[in-house]
Amino acid sequence: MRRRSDQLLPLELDIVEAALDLRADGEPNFHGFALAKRLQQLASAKSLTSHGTLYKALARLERAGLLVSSWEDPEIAASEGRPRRRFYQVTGQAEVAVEVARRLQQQEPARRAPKLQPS
Amino acid sequence: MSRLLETSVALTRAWCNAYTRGLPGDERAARRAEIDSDLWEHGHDGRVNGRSSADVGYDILVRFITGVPADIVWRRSIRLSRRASAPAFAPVLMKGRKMATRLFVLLSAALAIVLGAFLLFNAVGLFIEGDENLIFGISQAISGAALIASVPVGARSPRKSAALVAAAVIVYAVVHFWMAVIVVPLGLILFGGAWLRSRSAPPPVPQA
Repeated sequence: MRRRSDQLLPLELDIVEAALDLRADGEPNFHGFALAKRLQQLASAKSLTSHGTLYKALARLERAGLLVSSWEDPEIAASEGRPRRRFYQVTGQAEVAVEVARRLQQQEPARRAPKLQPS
Repeated sequence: MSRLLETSVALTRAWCNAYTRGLPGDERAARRAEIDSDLWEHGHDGRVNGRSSADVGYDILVRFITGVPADIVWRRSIRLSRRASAPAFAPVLMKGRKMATRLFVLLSAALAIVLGAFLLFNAVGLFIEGDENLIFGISQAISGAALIASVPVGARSPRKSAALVAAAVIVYAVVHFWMAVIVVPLGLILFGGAWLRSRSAPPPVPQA
């Protein structure tokens, strides 16, 4: 069955939860690789999420208003001799989405995920 | 830096450049910069944690390869969303391409009707001739009817029309396999017209 455009994928839920976890650890601004590492830790996975999967999901979550992003000051990156980072932050809508997902999982463990609201 | 790491990084960058080619400048630049940053962070993380550059290279290669389908889907979503928000005026080149496509669809529909009528007429003759040619008559009747039906069906359901054309070509080609040299190119033209017609509806507007 085709996924509805307003439903979160399991990976997207995992990303939001990992982002909230990073925020709870004092890292409200995170970049893609840091998120991939946290996802790996939380899932006890052997490998990191692929580039394509991760950044597609981040783009979709940003379009849905669950994440916001901004680019780092280029001078900071240049002074540290590395490329500029794109930082993401979770929004209040993300916390609501996770809460709804947890409630739904308790009711129907095998099935639905909360719907995305347009930003 | 090991050769595997260098190769993995180069391949990931090359792939990123390829699937972002032709996209709007802001999306293209942002994705390439983000992948560059990820590659650097991944390598740096490996050095800090004492991992061999070969291991890091392998991880990067796996992340690149397993992400290819998602990259393709992402590229398509960007192009669809930009097309949906394109300005009202159409560039002359786009208009010319649409007219050529429309002409091709019309001509292939006309060809389907003419061929379909010919096959049905021929089938009647084969039925009259008798038992030996019955299988040829049946295949031509089915193919002819399907080709003719595909044209009016296409007005309501272009995908069903394309399926009818495909069925007509396959049935005819299987029974008259010695005519593959003629049937295959003709079949491709007919199916191409039906398929283009199924694609001519405006693209869906992506949801947030």
